[in-house]
This record gives sequence, C-alpha cells and structure tokens, in this order.
Amino acid sequence: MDVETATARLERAIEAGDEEEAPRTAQALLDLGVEPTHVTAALSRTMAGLGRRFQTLDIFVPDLLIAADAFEAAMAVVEPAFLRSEAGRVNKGTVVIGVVEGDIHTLGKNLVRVMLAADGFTVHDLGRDVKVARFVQAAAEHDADIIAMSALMTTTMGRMNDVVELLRRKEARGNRRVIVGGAPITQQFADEVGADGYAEDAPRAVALANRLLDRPRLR
Amino acid sequence: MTGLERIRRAVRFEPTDRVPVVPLLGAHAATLAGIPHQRACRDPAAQAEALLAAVHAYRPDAIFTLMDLTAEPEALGAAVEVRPGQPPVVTGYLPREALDTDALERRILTARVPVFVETVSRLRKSLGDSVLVGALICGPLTAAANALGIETLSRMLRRDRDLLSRLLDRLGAAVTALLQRHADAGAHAVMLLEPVATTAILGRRDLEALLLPSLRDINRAAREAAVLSMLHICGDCRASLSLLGDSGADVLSLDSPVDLPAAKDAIGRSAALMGNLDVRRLLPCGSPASVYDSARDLVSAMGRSGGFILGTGCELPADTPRENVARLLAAARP
Repeated sequence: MDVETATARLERAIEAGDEEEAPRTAQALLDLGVEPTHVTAALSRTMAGLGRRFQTLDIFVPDLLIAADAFEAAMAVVEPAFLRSEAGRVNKGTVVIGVVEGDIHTLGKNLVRVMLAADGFTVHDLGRDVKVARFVQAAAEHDADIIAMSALMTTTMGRMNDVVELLRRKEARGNRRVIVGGAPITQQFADEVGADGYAEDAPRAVALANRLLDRPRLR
Repeated sequence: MTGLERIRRAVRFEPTDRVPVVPLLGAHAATLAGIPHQRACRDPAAQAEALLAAVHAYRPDAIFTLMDLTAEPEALGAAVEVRPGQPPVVTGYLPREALDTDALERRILTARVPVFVETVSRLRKSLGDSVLVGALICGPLTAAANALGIETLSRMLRRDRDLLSRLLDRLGAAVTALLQRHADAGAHAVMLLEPVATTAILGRRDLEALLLPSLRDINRAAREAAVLSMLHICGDCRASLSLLGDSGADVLSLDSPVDLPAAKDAIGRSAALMGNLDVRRLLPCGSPASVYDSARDLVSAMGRSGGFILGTGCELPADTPRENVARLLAAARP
C-alpha cells in the first residue's frame, strides 16, 4: 500500500467511524515512513470536513460521534511519535473543558474536545459535574488559554457565571478566554456572564477558539 | 366555550372564539405555589396543588403535568438523583440488555411514574372538562436516551441499529401502556416528549426507519383510547417536519427555532401546531411588552381558523416572571 492509498483509507475509516481500521491504517502510514504530521494533518482535515458536513445536516451527531471514536483510536497510535516530532512541540493553545456542576450531559462536550484536539489544541477534559473551583484550579494547573464550559439544562447554566465570578475574585482570568456552549446557551447569555464567546456546536467551537487566540483580548 | 372545547375544535381545524393558549407551566407552577420541585415530582397532591394554582392564576386552556424526563427512565431502572432546587437528573445508566425485555410494559408503571398518573386524576377531579388535562410522558427515543445515555444511543444509531430498533419497539409498547394508564386516570391528552428527536441527532432517514413506526403505533392507541395525541420536539426539527406531520399525532408542539408559519405550510392539515415562544430568553428575561408583542405577532401569522394553539417552545423556566406569563395568556384574548 502506498502513502496516497493509505491516507485515503485512513480518511474513509474516520468518516465511517471504523475504530479498528483507523488506528491500523495510521500505523501503516507510520510504517511507510511518513512524518507523524502527515497523519495528524489527514485526521484534522477529515474531522474538519465532517464538521462542515454536520453544519449542513449532511451528517448528524451519531456520525460525528463515531468519527470522533475512530479519530481518538488513530490519535492514540500516532500521538507518541507526533509529540516527539518538531511539529508536536507546537501547541495551538491549551484548553480545559468540562460540563458544569449539576449537569451530566457529556455528548456535546466530548465532541468539542475531539474537534479541538483534531485542530491542534491541547485539551484537558475535566469530565462532567465539574465544580466551579475545579475549573479555576485546572486552568491554573495547566496554564490554560481557554476554559470551555458546557451545560444542557437551564438549571445548571448559572454555574458558568459562578466560574467567571470566581476567576475574577481570584484574579485568575488574566489572558484566559472563557467559552460556553450547550442547548440552553445563547450569545446573549454568554455576554451577560462575561464569557469571551459562545458556540452553537462543535465545529463552531473550534472556529471560535481559533478566533479568540488569534486576536488581542478585549478588556 | 371551555378550554377543552376550544382545543378540540382547534385540533379539528375548526374556528374558535379565540386562539387557545397553553403554556407548559409545570416548573413555574411549582415555584408560583412555593412547592419545591423535588416535592412536586414525588407527591401527586403537591403537584396537583401547584398546577391548580397556576390554572387559577392564569386561566390557560389546558394544564399538563410537570415535565420530568427522568421519571420513565427511573422506572425502567436508571439511577436518578435529586438535588435541592434542581430537577432530577439521571446519574446511572442501564446496560442495553436491560431494555431488551417484554417486562418494560410493567416496569414503566413503577417508581415515580404513578405520581404523574395520580396528578392527572386529581386535576380531572378538580377541573372536570373545563380545561384540557394532559400528561407529559417520555417518548420511546428519549426514554431510551435517558435510560442508556445519549452517547450509547447515538453509537447504537450507527453500529447496532437492529438492537436499537427492537428496543424502540419495546419502549413504544411500554409508552402505550403508560398512555393507557393516563387515559384511565382521565387525561384528555398525552404529549410525548421527544427532545432527542431533534434533527441534529436524528436525521430524516433515522426518524423514518427507527422512530416513526413506534410513534404511529402510540398515536393509534391514543385515538382508540379517545385521547388527543401530541408530540413535542425540542430544538430545530425543520428538516423532519413532513415526517413528523405523518406520525399520526393530532398536535405537533414545536420549539422556538422552528418558524411556525413555515411549519404550517410544510405539514398542511396533517396535524395542528402548538408553540412556540422562546423559553430561553424571551419569557424568562424579556419585558412583558415584548412577550405580548411576540405572542400577538405569532397569533396573527398563524391565523384564527383553527389548527393552532399558542404556547411555549418548551416548559417555562421555574423563575419566569409572573407578569410575562400573564401577558402571554393575554395575547390570546381579544
């Protein structure tokens, strides 16, 4: 199998959510001697393409979810080599992400995590039902550029405000950006709680993260 | 004309003296009555007291039970946690095999589900036929999602469709048994809650192949039980409207992302439409005047010749200002 064929096969495996074929083909590409960045670029390109198809309702959440599974399986193969490479030392930005306290709905958060990782961000997943103080603590621990919060219930979205408030009280916001998302969240809500941005879905969250780290912070 | 008559005529696309108005008042009603949510979803007397207080305060044309998407999953075996000041949440999901049994029809009638059936009975005793009394119950897809976890369900949609199809058939039969129980308790209507059937998750192909057969069976059972069948979808379902119109539901209750006049064009007279003022920003945070104007605009756009019930896109948040709810109701009255 040549590089071109294997790359196309990897992309198809991600699109089909094939958790066995994707890591096998990623390994095959490494065995052919390609740079790890060739593999990560193919993975990133494929996930971005799926994100665009999701926004036009050509595919749906289940398709994105199984593609994310296959992406993570392939990344597990290529990541050690990638991190040792020159390109692997470049971090687009560090994100801590979690579902706010009282909320256990992780689907959207997981898709954002994978899409951000596919785009070159370093992502630390705090999981679900994350306490207010834990977001702030983790942001400091990982020197995060972005704190990303998700909520699916109107009764829990107020926790986002609490995180922003705690960041302010502890003078821990600095240049950190806060982004929010989830079914009940709107841009207006994001503005009211003092978040730097809101994204309606995972692909838009990636675009938002890129935009926020690409321009000076407004105070 | 009573509220019940008004809604029945509207559902038959017949003219009414005014447009019927039915906000989903559950959580707000509990707040209004000073009854903690966690008590209202466990105590039928408390829930009925809260809902009756809301009927007396606002005079809607219908009253529905509290929206609780954890009651059926809990009855099916999922672990549910109640925290002070918050609605219950599922904290422990079931393995898929736990739903692959014909015991679901019995199991779904256990745990807190009887609270809602008893609430319907109490509402009917107090209200008779003056307003429509309805039960909100999980549809089969949402019951599966909340019992198994949405991620498990999403993966099954692509990797294990045969099993998912079988589980949805079983859950459809269980929901039908629950519907019958509500009909026996005196419900005039049952609204199936299917927030998971939003288009982002369930595309047309999946809806048609996996969910629609169950919905049609449930709606057929509702007709046989002389109960109005309503189907509520949260979020954006514009791409699936024509299929939803063919589900056999008498009423589609749609969320604010859907343009209702466009939905009316899309489904014709296959179902009446209900909705859909925004419960995320407009009702909890907007001014009373903006609520009134939005409601009047919607009534004007939907016409007054039947087939439309003015309402909310989903259940009202508990802390919605009372004046905003009152102005929504006022907008339906000449």
